Amino acid sequence: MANSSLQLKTVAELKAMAKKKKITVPAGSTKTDLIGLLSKSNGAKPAKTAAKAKVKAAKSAKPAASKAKTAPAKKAVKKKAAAAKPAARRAKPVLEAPLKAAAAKEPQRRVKIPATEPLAEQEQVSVAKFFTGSPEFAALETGASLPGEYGEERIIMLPRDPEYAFAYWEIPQERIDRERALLGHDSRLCVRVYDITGVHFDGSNATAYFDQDVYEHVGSWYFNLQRPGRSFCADIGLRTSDGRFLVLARSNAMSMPSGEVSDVLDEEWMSIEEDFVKLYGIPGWIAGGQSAQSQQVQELLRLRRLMDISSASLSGRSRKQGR
Amino acid sequence: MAQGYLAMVLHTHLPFVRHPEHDQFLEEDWLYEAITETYIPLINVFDGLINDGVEFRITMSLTPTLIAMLTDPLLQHRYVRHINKLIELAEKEVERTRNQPEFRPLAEMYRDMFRNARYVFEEKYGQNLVSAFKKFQDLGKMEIITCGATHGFLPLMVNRNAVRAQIAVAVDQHTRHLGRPPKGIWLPECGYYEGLDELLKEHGIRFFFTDSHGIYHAAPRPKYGVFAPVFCRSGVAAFGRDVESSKQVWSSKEGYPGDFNYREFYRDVGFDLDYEYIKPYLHPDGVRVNLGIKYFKITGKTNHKDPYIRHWALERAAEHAGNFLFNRERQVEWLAGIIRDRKPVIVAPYDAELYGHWWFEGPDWLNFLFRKIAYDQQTVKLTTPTEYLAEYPRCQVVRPSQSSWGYKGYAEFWLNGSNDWIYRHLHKAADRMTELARSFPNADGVLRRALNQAARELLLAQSSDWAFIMKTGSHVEYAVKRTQDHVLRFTRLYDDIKGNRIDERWLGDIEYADNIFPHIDYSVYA
Repeated sequence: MANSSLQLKTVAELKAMAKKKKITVPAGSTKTDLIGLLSKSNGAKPAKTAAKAKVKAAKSAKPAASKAKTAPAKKAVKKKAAAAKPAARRAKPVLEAPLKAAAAKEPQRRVKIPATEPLAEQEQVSVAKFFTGSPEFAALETGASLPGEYGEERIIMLPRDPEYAFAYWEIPQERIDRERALLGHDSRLCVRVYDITGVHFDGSNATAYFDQDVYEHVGSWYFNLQRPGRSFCADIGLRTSDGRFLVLARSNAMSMPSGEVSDVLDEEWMSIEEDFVKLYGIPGWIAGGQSAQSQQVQELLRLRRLMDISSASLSGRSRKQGR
Repeated sequence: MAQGYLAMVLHTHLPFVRHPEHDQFLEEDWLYEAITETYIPLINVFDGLINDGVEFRITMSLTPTLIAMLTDPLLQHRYVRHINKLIELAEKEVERTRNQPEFRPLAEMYRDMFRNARYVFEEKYGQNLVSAFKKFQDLGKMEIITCGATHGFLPLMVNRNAVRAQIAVAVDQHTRHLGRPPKGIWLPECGYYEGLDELLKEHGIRFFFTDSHGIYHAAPRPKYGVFAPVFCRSGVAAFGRDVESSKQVWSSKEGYPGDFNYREFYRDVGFDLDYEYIKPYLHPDGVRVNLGIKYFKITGKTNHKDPYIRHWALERAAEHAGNFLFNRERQVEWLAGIIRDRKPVIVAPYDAELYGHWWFEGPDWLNFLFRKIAYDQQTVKLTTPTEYLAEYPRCQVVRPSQSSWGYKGYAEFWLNGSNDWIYRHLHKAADRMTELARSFPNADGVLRRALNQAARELLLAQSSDWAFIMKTGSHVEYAVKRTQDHVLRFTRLYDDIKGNRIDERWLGDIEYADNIFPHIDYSVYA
């Protein structure tokens, strides 16, 4: 689509288009930004600036895999092995073992390589924990499915990392229709995100806020907040053309991880010696003292441990004999 | 005299997978493989150290789901069946490879290893491996800590009572099986957020672990970094992970497990051998799976693999243990020059399943390491968090940062386009559970059973493993189904309880299937 025809559209229409094309629009984008994003997407690939782009990255790996499936079987195996290389610690070798003879009448089910994008070492180990070599058993029976919505008014915010927060919401469509009838049919459904750092939020005392238009009464969004360490809350509601905002539901308050080394260098120290002494069941007369008696406490701890050991090993033995 | 401490921490976890409705179930193999390749080899290492009088300390988390499976009679019975078949296969392999000198000793190694596993499992520990770990605990060698009841990722839970239940149920079950309440917890995925420490304190937990940045990003800035624990305002201590020692073991590039002499994980007779020959050892549907007999070493970066040579691999494991210790000694010496008023502690946490299952030689490495620490040097000493805190009860007070030990350090692995849809349902179920617990205090009879089962279903749905698997891409269907099934069962219980129409027979069925936490008390959600 030419830029000129994009210019003709309203911001809402552009946003809807962007959504259709699965381009995520950063909060607060102007019309020019939107046109930029959309015309870029007509070229090659969607812009990766926004929140969902990262998430989608995982999915974008999939088409390649499914393409491989249509290729001849042997090739597919090789391709997959190659695809696995960055992910797996060691590439899964193709089956060319000196031990292997041709397999007849063997049920062919493709082995899925356990990662669609490169994983950190630690995740590889966990993946290996669940790696049986076989994808799944025969398709599991599908029973009832989970409800699409619960018929309630609700919005929840979750911190994903220092930059991004995730929100999901649900507002019954009848409620939206009812309120729109009163507020005007051009009122927009939007999520209003408040920075509530350091305040006891009462709906009006946020230090800052922004609106994000949304289009689904049951939906979710990744917000690129870019404010590590701060606290947020969100309303979902209807914004009228004259700027009034009707709150339909308010989220939980949520804090973002700080993501950086603190500048605060104040030092405060605490001792929970007494708690530890309690933990070991040491009598109060000796725990009462301070570090002057720590020698004594140490000695008691040692004795205590010895007692633990002897009683435990005794009971262990008797249990064994009982078997 | 030692100048510093090393705290080795093994996080031991598998999600609750138990399917009495099927005679064999693929995902139960996760447990059987971990038993054969990780839990029993580790138990053998610790028993060996004790028999030889080698002094050591280690911290292990045993997650409540794992304890439930290891003490479950059905799964115990099935493990024996599983290992018996493996022994049979290994015996056939010894015969088949009689003219292949490069493979024959390996077939014998597996046969002996499987026979030993059966002996340790059945005879030595009476089919209950938790009793082995309890023994090491009672001997004062091992500190066993707990985890979230079903390994739910706590920072994404929102409902505080749901978080509380994860902790309360875990502490209760841990105490029943290990004879004493846990002093520490391995937070699922190391997921910490501010205020969680208060709930830990409520349940008598004195310390937890965070990833390095949980401490480095704390405020005020911790004076000693991750090399001394800090206190939260609540008085609960946080131990931070050391990056350097972590990398050496975890990393495929800089780490030990990628050494070319070590055994190749992805090359298994389940795929390498003639189909007719191997078929009796596969699951009934006949699809090839890993069987645990692997004849090749990593060899190199290509698909060309050479036969595994056991004694070469063991030599490398010994060298690597020496290298690890050498680095810890230098690290401690360096730290001791900076930290003057206490001995530093290096916290080195790993997934237990890294040892043996993923890194076949891992248990041997640990064995060499502990022996070298005991006899070859005096700079570094092994410790546990409780022992360290007893020696240094005075710590800096800070607010650790929200963090996890997952990919990128926060919640993204469990909150992304592949799995974010689950939270809507998990949160709703948690709120409903709270509502039920408040509406029906002091219930008894069938109502009580239904309420307790609702709590079990909610907990099972919350396992972070399902979100993890959805993200990684293998066994996704299973993870999705588990999430759905438990939420659906919960929802039906919720509706039935509210409608005063509990179907007792169906309740009995799901109590039998999802039999985790027999002593659960739903009122923890009130």
